[in-house]
Amino acid sequence: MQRAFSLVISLAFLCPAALPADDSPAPPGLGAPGKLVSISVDSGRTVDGKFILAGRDAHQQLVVTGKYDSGQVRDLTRDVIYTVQPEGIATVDASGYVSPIKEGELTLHVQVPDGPDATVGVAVTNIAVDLPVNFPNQIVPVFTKYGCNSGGCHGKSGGQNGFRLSLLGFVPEEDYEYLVKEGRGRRLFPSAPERSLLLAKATAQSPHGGGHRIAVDSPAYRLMHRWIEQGMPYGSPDDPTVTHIEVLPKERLMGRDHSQQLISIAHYTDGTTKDITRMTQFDSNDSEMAEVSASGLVTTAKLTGSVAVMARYQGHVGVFRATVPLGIPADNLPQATTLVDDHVFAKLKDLGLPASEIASDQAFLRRVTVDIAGRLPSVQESESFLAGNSPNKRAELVDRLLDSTDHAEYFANKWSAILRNKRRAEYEKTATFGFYHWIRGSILDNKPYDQFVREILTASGDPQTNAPVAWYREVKDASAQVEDTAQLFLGLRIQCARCHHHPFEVWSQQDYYGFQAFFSRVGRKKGLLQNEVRVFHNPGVAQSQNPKTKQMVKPTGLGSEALELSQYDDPRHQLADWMADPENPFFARALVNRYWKHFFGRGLVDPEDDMRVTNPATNPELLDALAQDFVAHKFDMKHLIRTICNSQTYQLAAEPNDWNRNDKQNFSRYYPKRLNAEVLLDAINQVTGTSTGFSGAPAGTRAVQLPDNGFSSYFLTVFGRPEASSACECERSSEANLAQSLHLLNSSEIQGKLTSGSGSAARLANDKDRDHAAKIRELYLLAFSRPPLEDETSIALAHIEKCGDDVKRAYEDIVWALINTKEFLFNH
Amino acid sequence: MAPHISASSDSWLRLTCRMTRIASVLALLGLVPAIAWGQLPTAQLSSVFPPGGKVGSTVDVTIAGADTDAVDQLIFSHPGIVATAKMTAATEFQPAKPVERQFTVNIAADVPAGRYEARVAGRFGVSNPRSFVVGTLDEVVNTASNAAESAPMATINQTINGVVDAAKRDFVKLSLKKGQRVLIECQAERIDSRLNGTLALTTVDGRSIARSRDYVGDDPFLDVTAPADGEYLLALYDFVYKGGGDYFYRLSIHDGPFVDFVFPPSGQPGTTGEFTLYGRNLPGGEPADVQVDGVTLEKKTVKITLPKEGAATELEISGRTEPQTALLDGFQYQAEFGQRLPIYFAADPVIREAAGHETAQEAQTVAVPCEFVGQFYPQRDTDWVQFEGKKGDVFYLDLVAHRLGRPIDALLVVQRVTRNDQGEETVADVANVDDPADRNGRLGSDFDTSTDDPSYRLNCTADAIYRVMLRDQFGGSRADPRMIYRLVIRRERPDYRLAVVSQPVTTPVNANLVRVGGVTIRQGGTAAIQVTVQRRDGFAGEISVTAEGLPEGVSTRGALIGSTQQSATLILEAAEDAARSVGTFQVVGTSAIDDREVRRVARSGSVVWGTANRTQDTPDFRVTQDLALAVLGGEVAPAFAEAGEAKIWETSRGGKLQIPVTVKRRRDFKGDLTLAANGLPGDIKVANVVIKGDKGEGTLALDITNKATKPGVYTFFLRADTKSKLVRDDLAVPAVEAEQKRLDAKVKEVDAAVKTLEQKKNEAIAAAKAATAAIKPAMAAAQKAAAEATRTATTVEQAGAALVAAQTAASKDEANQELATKLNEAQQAKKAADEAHAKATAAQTAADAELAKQQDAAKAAEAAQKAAEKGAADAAAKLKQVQALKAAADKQLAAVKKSNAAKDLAFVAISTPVRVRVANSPLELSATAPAEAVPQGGTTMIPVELKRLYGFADKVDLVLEVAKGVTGLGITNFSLDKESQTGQFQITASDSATVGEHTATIKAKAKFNGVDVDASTTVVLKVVPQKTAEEKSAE
Repeated sequence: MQRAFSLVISLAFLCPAALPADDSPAPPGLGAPGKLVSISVDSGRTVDGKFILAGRDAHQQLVVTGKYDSGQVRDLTRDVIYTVQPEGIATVDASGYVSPIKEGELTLHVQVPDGPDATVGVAVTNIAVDLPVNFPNQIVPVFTKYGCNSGGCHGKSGGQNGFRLSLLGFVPEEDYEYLVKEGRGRRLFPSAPERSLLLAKATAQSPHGGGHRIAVDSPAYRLMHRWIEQGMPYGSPDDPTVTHIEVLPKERLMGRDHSQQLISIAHYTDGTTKDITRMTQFDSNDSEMAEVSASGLVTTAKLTGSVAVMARYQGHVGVFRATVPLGIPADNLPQATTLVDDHVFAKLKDLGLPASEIASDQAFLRRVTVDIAGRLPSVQESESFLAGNSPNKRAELVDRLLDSTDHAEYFANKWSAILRNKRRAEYEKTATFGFYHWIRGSILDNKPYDQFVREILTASGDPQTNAPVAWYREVKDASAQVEDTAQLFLGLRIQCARCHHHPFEVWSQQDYYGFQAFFSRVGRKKGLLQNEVRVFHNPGVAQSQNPKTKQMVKPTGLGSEALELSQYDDPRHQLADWMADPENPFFARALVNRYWKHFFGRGLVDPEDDMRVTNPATNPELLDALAQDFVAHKFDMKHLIRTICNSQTYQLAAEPNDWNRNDKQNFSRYYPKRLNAEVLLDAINQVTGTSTGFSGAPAGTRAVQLPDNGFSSYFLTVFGRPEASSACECERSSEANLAQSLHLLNSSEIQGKLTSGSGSAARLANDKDRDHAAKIRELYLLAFSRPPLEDETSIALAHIEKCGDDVKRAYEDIVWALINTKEFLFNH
Repeated sequence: MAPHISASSDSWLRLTCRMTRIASVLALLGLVPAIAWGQLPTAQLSSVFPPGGKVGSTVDVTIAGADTDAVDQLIFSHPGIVATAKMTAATEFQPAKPVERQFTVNIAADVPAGRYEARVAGRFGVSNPRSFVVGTLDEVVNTASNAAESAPMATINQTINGVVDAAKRDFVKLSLKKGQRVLIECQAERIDSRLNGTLALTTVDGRSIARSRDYVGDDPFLDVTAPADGEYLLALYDFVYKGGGDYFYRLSIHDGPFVDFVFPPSGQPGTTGEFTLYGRNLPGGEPADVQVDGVTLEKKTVKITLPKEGAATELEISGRTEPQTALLDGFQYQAEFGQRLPIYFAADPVIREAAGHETAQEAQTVAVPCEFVGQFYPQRDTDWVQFEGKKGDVFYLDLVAHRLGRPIDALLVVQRVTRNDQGEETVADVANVDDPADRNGRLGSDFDTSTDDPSYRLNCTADAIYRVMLRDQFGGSRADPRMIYRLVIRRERPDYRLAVVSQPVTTPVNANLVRVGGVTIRQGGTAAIQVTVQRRDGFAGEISVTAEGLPEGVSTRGALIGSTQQSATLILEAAEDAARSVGTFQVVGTSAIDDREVRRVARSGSVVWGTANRTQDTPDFRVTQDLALAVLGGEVAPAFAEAGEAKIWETSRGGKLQIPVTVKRRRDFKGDLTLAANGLPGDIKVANVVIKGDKGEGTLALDITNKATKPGVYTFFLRADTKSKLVRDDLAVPAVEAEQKRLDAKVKEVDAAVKTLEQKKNEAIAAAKAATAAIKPAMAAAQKAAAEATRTATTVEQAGAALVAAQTAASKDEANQELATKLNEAQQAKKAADEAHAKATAAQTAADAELAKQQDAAKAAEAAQKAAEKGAADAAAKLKQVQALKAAADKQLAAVKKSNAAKDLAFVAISTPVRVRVANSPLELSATAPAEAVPQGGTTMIPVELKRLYGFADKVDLVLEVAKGVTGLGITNFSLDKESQTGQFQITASDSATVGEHTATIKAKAKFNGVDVDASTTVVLKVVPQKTAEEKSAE
């Protein structure tokens, strides 16, 4: 196939540069801080002007904060001079890390060169007589900190090279067992602790696949050494345990290329606290925005926005949130129309991030039609919308689209994939088609979301008479039910907690099995049709066994109290009640975030189904407000879409201004996204004037209308149609790859559509009643929902001229060029 | 007509006399479908289209299905519906003949609206039934369009008959006024269509108004009130976009009444009670407080009189009835507006569910026995009912809901509530009952009468309140007032029901194949019908099964269903001279319950849709209104196996039987037969009987030597799956040959005529030629004569002139003799000239006449030639025509010969039934009590006689036992050696032997072919006190 390649190049400039190179001028950011007024020294555990270092292993990270007359606060921890008085009791290094030497009291003096100063008292205790080491509290965190018990190493199921540790140390009693008793005790020698395999391996004195992890005589080494020396005490059951951890500061407004020291404090059951900064694992949720060192030093990069640093210690998590402003006055913001704008604009103002202009009517029409109805606007729709002059025409368009069956079909297509409406065999069609039509009908009728979810979760019967039972067809066992429910409806990924404590979250196995108990009475019976399942409530006490503790757990909503149910109550109804409770912290948030992502391409929390303390929303106030509004409107999904689509935020142009082209999380512009597989195929059919036949579906069925994914199509596969194998939206791939480009540029499928005797090219070539300019205009309206620019028309006319008598060929070339533009392939 | 399961011998249509006609019909049926599975053909009906018609009208229908190529009858279950074959117009060479697979159906004006059954019958027996609906609305056929744009406007109150094509939708438009209400009913699945119908009503621009599927059974139903004036688009399609000829439907769009359900669902036979109809557009109806899919139903109370006892164990079938419902009893109530509704028979008073008994504390108290009826409505409904039970009471709690045709999976929880002196309740769970134990194993099996309905035998162990919780386990997801149940709380009442399925037997090569069809039997052959029994309330009697209403020449030896058996196979046998026939018959069981003879007519079922592979696609079954049987004429079964000699064989556990088996071979069948026993329980294993192709006899060795075998009766048969070089249709070739022969004769006849006419034509041509030739001389003569006449006329003229000259000359010189002589000569010459001219003229006239004559003759000859030519041409054309017919017949013959060439066809030979009664033991023991009492210290003998049965001859150990506490008796036990039959116990009473009348149990124990067998009897042994010294001396 040879196409007029020159035409493509000449048309390529039409595509708005979605992500141009970074050539913007340097923004002011926080701006000049002004005069340093005062400093403060924080340990997080200073009481009455001093903190205590108890024991040889106690250390303290300090944070020195300067306050400026501009109102700014900045971290000066590494910019000050530390001195101690008297010396010899403790030392403090230039990073503000205090280590004990001997028992006593001292005063620590902090001096800003040519600036203010401050002091803090330190008491060092328990050096003369060592406190017995507590294995879970002290030794296990070492393994975590140095990655010994990570999933890639000894922490994986089965361990590594014969040595096993519980993942991230969530089960210290097992770790103790493995270390002290397994392997005939060969790992530890109390009589010569330094010859213990544990130390020899960790320091790479003995060959160690994991390499050199801990330096000889480092604090961690000394601690383990002493523990072995003490005869490997496990610790007493009365020893305090961690109740929670605290990260200081909690949040900060930071400049670009700035740093901030963090402190991590553990709180114990006996009321004591301990600095665990260097035992804490820190991770940044966006390493492009900011990085964090092992010692808790956060360094921002050049981007503007929010970033969170997650701190983990023994199953406890804490978070530090930093906001990096751009510092440009955001004074071009339009008048807010919905609550979305209130919060997005507030954020933009905080960040000093100017928003793009409001998108043109044509951009809005195409964008919202694709996003709501999963199709391109028709020529007539474009003409009448662009010509319309109602002041409310955008809102009217949103209403019209929401009211259409196209919307129901597009969103049914979306939900069908994540509700795992997967067909594996021909005879499953009745179930998969049934489930699809149920979803479609629910969206068409605007069934309240809580009811929609309730009908799925509490589904009983067979899929023939009650379509949502089909969910239980693919989501077979209790684990899958727990995990899909959490991920899909609560935005939580709790699968980790099935086998061990969630590494980044508060969820324990107790939480997991308490949640699983809701599904513990799901009975299954052989169905009337082949491989069909019938679901029912199997009467009995709803409970699940925590495999670790062997304890039976009653149905418990995540973070809630266990429920007492009669054996005849179907606990799934209680689960639905718990979810639909306006106070539920997950349910509404998960949905509004999911829908937000649908329209903006990025969740307020992203990924949209991984909502956790340690992955906070980029705009938490907006997430809360949307969720509250959603609950207040009785889970009205169309209302939510209206709130989003009628906002000025949604209607911002995709074209960036000087400042926001790097913005990927503050919604200062519309982020272009590739049309998804089904929409793209339908769009190509629309522009080429052809249709794609799907075996087993009536002629004229559009790709977004297919009731399940069992209709084979190379096009849809290559463009990332999901397999409906999981509850994750990520199954739908929006990546670009070579196969896609080649398919669009050079495939018999596309060639067939271009050259079809009944296609657009043939139709336009044969149309003698209109001039070419009018026909070019029609094609542009079809593909881009806008009339062509002058030079676009002239290029196209020139091409037709060049092709001489072969007018059809000329139109084929033009159509081909149009569908290969980014303007066509993207929603923008 | 009340379509009870019933039949009489009158229903048999004698067809012998019609054989000739059938043969000629066959001769004309050229197309023979490929024989799908290489088996003997049996008529299989897949569709009758249109699948119904308006009452009082005539409808042209087309039938379709495998092996329907020789169908000559379309039979309906109502005598008012009569079909005649559609005929072609008669031609000179061919009489009118039936159009293949087409019939004209006449529906009498007095046939009540409803669903009836149609079967086809013909050369290959009788087919399975297909539904045929008699409706009340006007009907049209195939009017819907596959394209929305060209959808025709539908008429309200009309029924559209149509077929859905694969990946297509059928569209019609509706024009409605705002607020106008129409009901849109699609009949498909319930009239045996494969269509899983889906209805979608939209505005013409695609906005969804309403959708439905699976409302009545698997059929959709819409109740629509138009939101605005305008046109609407109605689409009907298969839910998974399948389609084809098997996907037929009847779509009725009307504003008449529709009944959703009737409540209560049951009543006592012979009583009249109030029943409430719930539905839409009910004449005189009022709003009910129940909703379906957002529509509030109407209700109307009617008085219904139920049929009296006698009908009480029957089931009338109008709508589609699923197998699980087959064993209920009930009748069809004909509502005043057409719809027929099932009402079931209750044995005990019916008590309706009252409002508000949704917790244990509020349980509704009922008097038992009774039938408690209610609804699982609204959503997540739970009902509680309680009754008083006395210690020792036994109740059967039988929840009937799934069996009412609803997808209900009920749960029954039984609690016992006792109160102490303080009145405090103690509640104990007695049972938590879900599906019956056999449900999981039987689900999906053929004609699956198993059910999701729970039932429980409640043995009241104390005087207490028994409380029952009822719940639909699928009720959490729906609010449907049609979810009705009957909780039967009855006292134990053993009974039974029977069911049969007319399902053609298939070969094990195709064990996964299920075919539709009726019961068809070949002359001299057998047919097997599976009879299953449902035993109620612990009924364990023996049931004797037979068939009634069989046609002449067909008989059955019956089957015995033993007390531990749940099924048996009933074998029908046809005599070799049995006449061809089609009709219905009944399978009937008799058994003794509490010394009463109880007769039950079996409910029948049929495959609705078979499957080529049941592992891929499940076959579909339903209950049928009757059971049909056809005897094939003109074709004998290839083999007939006789086993069991028509008697009931007897033996005991451990026994062995040698049962003779004989085989009759026909139609050149010479193959080996390996006969395997079918229908025996797993603990009786029998070696196959192999009868080689050159042998006609064999022996079935039946060993009851498995210890696990229970005594009882067993009915089984031998089955051989074999193949033989067989002709698909013996009659096809001769029939076509006869037609070909007839046409051949006709060709000859016409050919001869053509030859004669050709001859005649040639003669005419020759004659015409001659006649034409004859014109030529006449023409020449005429021309010659004319020339002569012309010449003589000239002569006359010249003579006249000469004469005038002579006269003139002579008058001038009268005396001139010369002149006078010249005048005279001139006069003479003139005269001669005149004469010659006259003669020439006469000759010319004659010649002209001759020419005219010859010309006429030639014309006539030409005409004759033309006529002869036409005659010859006509004859030649006829010859061509008849030759073409002959050629067609030749071709057909070749095709029929090819398709009927003898080839290996698999067939199943089923033997006559073997009935065996297995006794517990081959021993019968009798003992004679001592004539006199034995005194203490005395001795007596007890003679024993052992009867050995069933060939048992081995050693038997005999033991005499007395009750515990009887002491002082010395007993010599003994054994009877082989074949020995008598012996005796010697009893020695000690001085202190217990005095009194003691029952002594004598037990015989033996091993019969390794199986422990025993027998026992008792005698009374009297021990009297020892005589005292005085007594002795007194003697």
